[in-house]
Amino acid sequence: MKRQVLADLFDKDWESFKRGLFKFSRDPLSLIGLVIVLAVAVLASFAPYIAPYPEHAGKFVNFDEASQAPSLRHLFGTDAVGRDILSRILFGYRFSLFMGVIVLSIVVPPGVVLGLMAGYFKNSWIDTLIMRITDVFLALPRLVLALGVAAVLSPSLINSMIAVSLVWWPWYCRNVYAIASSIRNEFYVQAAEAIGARTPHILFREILPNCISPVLTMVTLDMGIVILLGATLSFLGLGIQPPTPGLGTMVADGAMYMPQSWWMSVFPALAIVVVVLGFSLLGDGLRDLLAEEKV
Amino acid sequence: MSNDAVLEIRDLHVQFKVYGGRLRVLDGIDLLIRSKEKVGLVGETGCGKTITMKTTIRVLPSPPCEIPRGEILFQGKDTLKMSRKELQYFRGKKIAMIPQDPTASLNPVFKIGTQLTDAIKYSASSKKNLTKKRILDKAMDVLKEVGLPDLKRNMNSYPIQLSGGMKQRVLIAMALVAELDLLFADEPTTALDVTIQDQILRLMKELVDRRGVSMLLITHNLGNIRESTDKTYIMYAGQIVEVAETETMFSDPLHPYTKALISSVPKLTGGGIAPGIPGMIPDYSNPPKGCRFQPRCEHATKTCMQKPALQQIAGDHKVACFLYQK
Amino acid sequence: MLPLSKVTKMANNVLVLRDVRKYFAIRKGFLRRRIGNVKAVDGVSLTIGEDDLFGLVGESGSGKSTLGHTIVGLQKATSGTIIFKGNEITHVNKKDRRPLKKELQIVFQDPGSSLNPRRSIKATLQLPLRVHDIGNNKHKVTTVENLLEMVELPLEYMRKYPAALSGGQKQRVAIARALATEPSFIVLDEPTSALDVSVQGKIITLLLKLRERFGLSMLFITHDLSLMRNVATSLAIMYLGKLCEEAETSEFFQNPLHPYTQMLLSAIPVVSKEEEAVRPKKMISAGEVPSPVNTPPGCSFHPRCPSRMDVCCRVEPATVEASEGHTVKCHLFAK
Repeated sequence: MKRQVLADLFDKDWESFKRGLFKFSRDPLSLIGLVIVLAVAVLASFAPYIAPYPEHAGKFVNFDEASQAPSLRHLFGTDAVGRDILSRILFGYRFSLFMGVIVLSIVVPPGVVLGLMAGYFKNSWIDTLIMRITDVFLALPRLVLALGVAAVLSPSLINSMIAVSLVWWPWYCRNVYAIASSIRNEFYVQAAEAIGARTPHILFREILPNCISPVLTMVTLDMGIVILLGATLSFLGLGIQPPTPGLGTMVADGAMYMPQSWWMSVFPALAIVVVVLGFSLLGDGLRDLLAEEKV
Repeated sequence: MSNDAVLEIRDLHVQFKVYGGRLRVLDGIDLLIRSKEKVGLVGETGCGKTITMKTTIRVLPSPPCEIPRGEILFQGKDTLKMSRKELQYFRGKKIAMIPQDPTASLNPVFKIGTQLTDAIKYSASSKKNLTKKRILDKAMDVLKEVGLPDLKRNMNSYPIQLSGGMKQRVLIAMALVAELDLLFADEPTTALDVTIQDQILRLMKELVDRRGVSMLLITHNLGNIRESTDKTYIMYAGQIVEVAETETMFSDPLHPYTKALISSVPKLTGGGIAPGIPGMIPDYSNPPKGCRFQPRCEHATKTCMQKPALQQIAGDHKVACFLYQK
Repeated sequence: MLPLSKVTKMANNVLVLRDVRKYFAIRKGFLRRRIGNVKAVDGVSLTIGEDDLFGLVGESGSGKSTLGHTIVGLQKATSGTIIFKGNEITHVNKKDRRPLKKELQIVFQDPGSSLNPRRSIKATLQLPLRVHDIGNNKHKVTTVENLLEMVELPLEYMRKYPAALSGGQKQRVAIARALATEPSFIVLDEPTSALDVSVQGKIITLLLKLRERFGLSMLFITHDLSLMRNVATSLAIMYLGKLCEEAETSEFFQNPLHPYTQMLLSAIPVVSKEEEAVRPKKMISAGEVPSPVNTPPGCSFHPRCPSRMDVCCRVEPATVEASEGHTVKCHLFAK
């Protein structure tokens, strides 16, 4: 029974879940994605203990060591004020993941709930109200809206998270709406209605479990994109403020020293690429894992 | 081998390699379709009839699907040994298929006219003489043949604007654009109402007779088989259990499965409901040895653990059952 | 007016429908104004007695499923009266509707989607018990076990998920679910249409057994006249939202009157010569099954009717009693 609980999360019964895991383990790209994500998670969690120079992540200057090329002492080199780039990247991962997790935690539940309601009550005023509001947010390009919000609020990590959250929730609402409004006509939902089940039951116990796996895939893919958006905001100076190490900020700071002190921008940029790639591959793998099988 | 055989399948074995084992679906299928013959392949869901058809035109994806043994001779040539290029010559031009669900088989974003003219272009045996006018003319002709007279309107409609019966007629039209020798119809009327089913089957019979095409009708509806075919094959769990001229099959069924199947159909003359056949279709990863029906057969004995051969009883009537072994 | 034969049976009638209509609005434009109606059910009157297994036969677009859904409360009737066990239930409010849902249950057409794929069989069967608060947890489990036994499924199926079950087994679970609240009336909406013929026999036999055991009244919605010949006590044929013929089964098949009935019967692909002899000779059914969006004027069947007369195109025929208990809606039989 307990194994089934895990399988439930992925929308399958145990047998097909096992088959899915087997397929997943055979797909090199998905495995690479999984490894990257796990590695980043570990690095981020244990950054204070792994980083060679943890104090460089805070207020620290040492102009003697400034602008040094990658060497054995500083594997990724140092930046303009002498801070070890590798250590700052590890701490930067902390903030990126933090942002990703928090933003998605804020965004996903309301988005999903609203989508469920709009889908179940399709063609009623509830549907119209929710979806038109969603449409307004969807009509604006994510980056522009995030920039706008972040600029209005004073630049900081928290505010950039708020900005990204505001842009993000409508996508969950829209996707869940699409699924919910088609599931809503399935016979098992009608059967629950015929039995007399109340609306919250139908929404959360009949429809929602059938929406979870696409949502899960979306969440995984979105982690990478949220991180990227956060990095973009801090690159533009609207997110993480110095001296806090943010991957985007680091790229921005190093930009003016290109191409001579290339390591100052390139390594943080690569760090972003790696983490986004990891989540994308993992998300794709999850999508295949959860896909319907054809006999 | 009869020399007017359009399609002859000999001892076909088809298996699928999946996680957790091997599905031994087809276990030595023998099938013969002669020129101008209308043959029915009857079996319940999961018996392998669609797989048999798909293997003939090789549309099953090859890594999971394996064909360890057997020959499929289309007009004397083994399709299993053909290259893709050679197969292209047959598919759509000599062999065509009418699929099961008309709604799912038409592309919803293209007009009927486009899909029909595409079919004509791909089925043409030579690229020359393919002017726009000729293609359109051919499209109009074939639509008229299937009884969709309102040509302009239908050509310009999207599938969603057509009823189930009309869509099925379009699919039949698309199958008939070529100079066919063999037509496969996979449950062509399952998704349709009974009065429309009647129309469609009648149409197919008429067209097939008029053009001298052979037809393989695959279905689980016994009534349809009886009214539309000359010869019937009964299939169970990947094995052919009986074959006979259709009239004989229904007036004098021999195999226990055939008998049980026919008696399961509620009769218009009354007589109550037959209790159905106990048990379920076997698990293909571990099928019963020998005759695959024996776990569900009331006449089963130890001999049934060996596979009975298709024994000839009279003329075209053959049965694979130890009850009738000489 | 109900025929006399029906009035005398009123005493133990479980379900009475009087001129029930269900229209769906067609809305267009920004303000979604109603520009027309889909007349799914367009004036249906019938009575179903305590021991009846009433067959409602029709093709797609006839409105038979909509009628079934309206009876169990999934849809609200646009007009007309529905009387269940003597009480009018057409316009019950939500609160009063809930106890009714214990009494009136439904089994759906497609076993594949009538069970939530994400819920175990146990959870699915317990749902009605939870909703209506029947018994404590231990009692619920016992009830689930009893239900599985009733539909002849092994007890360990409780832990399984629908994907592991065959079509026939899923349908058994759906039937068990419908029985969980001990209903007195079950609507069966094409319960075996998606199943193979050998499985159909098993499910129908089970249904008949359960009907006898629990004294259930049933409304059996289907397109399969041969099946109804063998299980129904009375039959009605539905076409474009209206009933065109109704009779007790033996009378119906001995004496089919309406041209549409004859067309249906002649189209059935039968498997024996004896059946062919009983069947009306083939009527080439011309034309498509129309949709209830644009119903033809006069008699809605007239575009396809081989016996069409002039009056049929203009005037809707009244329902007349051709013989005792046998009503038909056709100008050919107008008195």
